[in-house]
Amino acid sequence: MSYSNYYAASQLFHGSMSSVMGTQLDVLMIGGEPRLLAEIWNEIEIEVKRLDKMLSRFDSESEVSQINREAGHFPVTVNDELWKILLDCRRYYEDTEGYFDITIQHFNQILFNETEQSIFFFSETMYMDLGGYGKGYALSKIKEILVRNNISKALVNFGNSSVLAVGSHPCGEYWPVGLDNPYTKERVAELKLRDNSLSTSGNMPSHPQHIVNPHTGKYAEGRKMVSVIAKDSVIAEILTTALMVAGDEQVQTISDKFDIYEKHLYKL
Amino acid sequence: MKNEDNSVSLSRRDFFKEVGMIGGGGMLLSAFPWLQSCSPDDKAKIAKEKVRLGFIGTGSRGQYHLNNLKDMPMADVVALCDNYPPNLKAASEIFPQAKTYDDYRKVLESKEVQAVMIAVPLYEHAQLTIDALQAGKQVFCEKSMAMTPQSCLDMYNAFKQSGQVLFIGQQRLYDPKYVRAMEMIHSGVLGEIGGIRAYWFRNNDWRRPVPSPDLERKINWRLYKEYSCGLMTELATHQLQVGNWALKMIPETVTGMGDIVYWKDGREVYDNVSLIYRYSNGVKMNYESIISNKFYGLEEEILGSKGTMEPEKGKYYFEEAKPAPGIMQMINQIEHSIFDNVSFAGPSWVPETASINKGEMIMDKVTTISGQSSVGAAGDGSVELVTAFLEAAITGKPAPNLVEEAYYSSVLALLGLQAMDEKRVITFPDEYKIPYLNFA
Repeated sequence: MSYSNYYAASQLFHGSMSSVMGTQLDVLMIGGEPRLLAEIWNEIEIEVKRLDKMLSRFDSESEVSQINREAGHFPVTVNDELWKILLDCRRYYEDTEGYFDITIQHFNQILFNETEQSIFFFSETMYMDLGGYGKGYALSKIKEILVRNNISKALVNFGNSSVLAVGSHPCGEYWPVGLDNPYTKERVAELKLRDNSLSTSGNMPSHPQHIVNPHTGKYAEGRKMVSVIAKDSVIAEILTTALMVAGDEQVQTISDKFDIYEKHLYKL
Repeated sequence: MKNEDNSVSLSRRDFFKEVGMIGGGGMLLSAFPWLQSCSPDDKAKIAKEKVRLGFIGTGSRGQYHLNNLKDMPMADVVALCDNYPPNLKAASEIFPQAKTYDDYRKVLESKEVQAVMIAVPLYEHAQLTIDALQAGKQVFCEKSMAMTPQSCLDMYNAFKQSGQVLFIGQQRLYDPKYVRAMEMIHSGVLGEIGGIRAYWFRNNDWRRPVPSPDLERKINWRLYKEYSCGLMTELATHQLQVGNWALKMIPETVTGMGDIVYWKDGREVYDNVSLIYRYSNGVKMNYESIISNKFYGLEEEILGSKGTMEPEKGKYYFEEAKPAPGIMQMINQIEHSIFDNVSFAGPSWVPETASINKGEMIMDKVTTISGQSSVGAAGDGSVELVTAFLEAAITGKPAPNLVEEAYYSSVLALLGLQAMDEKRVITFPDEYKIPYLNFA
């Protein structure tokens, strides 16, 4: 389902799309011809649907689902883009000391065959879930579309947990974004975003535990929330997932390996 | 059954805070000129002043206003007037120190009285209002304006010629949820408005107890054509005004049918009306009022290509995907050049996927009414409206566009009645057009 609207007074285009990557996408673009903005929005919609179709493990026709069905039995050849994504995930697995793991606990049981561009799971029960990566990747692709079309001011909200800021709010030097404590609804931070991405991960009253620690197989417990601001939306995305489950002593060493602007850890 | 109006109190300060917060001070108010009739400077200047007020017509609606006036520091009620002694006595209990009169002309002659509020039966509105303006008083008169389009026009002309203040009791113009709803509609959130369905349903005979049969017509004036135009002037005017407000237009034609279907008790006015008002762009406002079933209550359903507004309930609904919480607030701020933090970032959020569209609240704190009371309900904008009148009575500055809004909703109600009585389509007569909106 999709909705879009143009507000002439402020030359603001708003596109909204629901039921994509398990949540909702809202895009605000400022400045430019309404017709052109509508075309850009259309391009974004097509791109995000394409990625969802490739990366969702809940869509039986997606390429990730095909891998999850077959890679435990025989090597599965992967298309160029997905191959690059999986290599990325391997690098992030290593850089986060295993706290970012798309297989949750089994990443070292994936066999990457570089010449065949194929992957094989050593265990038949293994599967991969790109939920902690997909929205960040989608934001990086949306950013490419916006930049290619010379959109200098935009705010993209992917399910509240992944936010991309291009340029600034029309009336200020940055995009002002409040971060709320999901338990008390009180504001815990007022963040200034500009040409970067904010990712937030955390437990919520409705989902008190949903992120698994790959080293222990146990859920991250407690009222905890992590936010990261980085130039690269994928880095912000994977790092919040990793820092949610990493021990306090590893947080700094892991963060130091990434190029980030800000990180915020909250015990709520 | 007890009337259970949901009354969450909303002080005037809250009103401006709430509306201002959403819309952002001056930018918002500029779209609703009657809300800025009193500038912040003027407000500060007159904060300690009082208006010496004469109140004419102290029946049920009058007493509702008087009870509200008790809590308004600017109101100094010095005179009460009614020609029905029990109502005058009841009013006197609210303001014991006020002088009492049974003839409104004596109130108008009183030098002490600066301003009058009029809540008499409809058939007396025009005469009293015009006399009061000519006596140099600032005037608040309940809606509808008058019994005929010509009398409405006479009131309007008297107001214009006087240069004084006239307020008509169209309280939705001051109801925060309406102000916010209209701002959203005008900014295009709902897309293009294709139709309006307005209705007001009650299930009661609309009668007041009569102490003796010879008082029937005096007490139950709403039921007789000599004094009242029935549902059209008592209920429909409020809602016709909402339609015009949303569309920023006045309809050009109207047709409809009216009947006495259920309450065949000797009354002369319809208890069952259906009308179609057509705007020049083809959009229709369908209006219905029945007083033998109350299930649907009252609403003005404003139907846009992208969404639906139900201002009485304080809700709106998107046709398809609804934006994430916070995004609408961000859009609104950008529209009003406001740079402020909007809280939406947080852990991943899964939107509701239920097939039932429960809609969004127009604002955090919404006060709704059941529409069953024929006196008035708390939190419907009446207090804000009267407060604005008191301020205007002190400053002497009329509220821009307020009388125009009231004029057209009153005349449209009367043209609707004429269409039903004559069983034909009525085109808005040129002689009753005043310079406002598309009729300017």
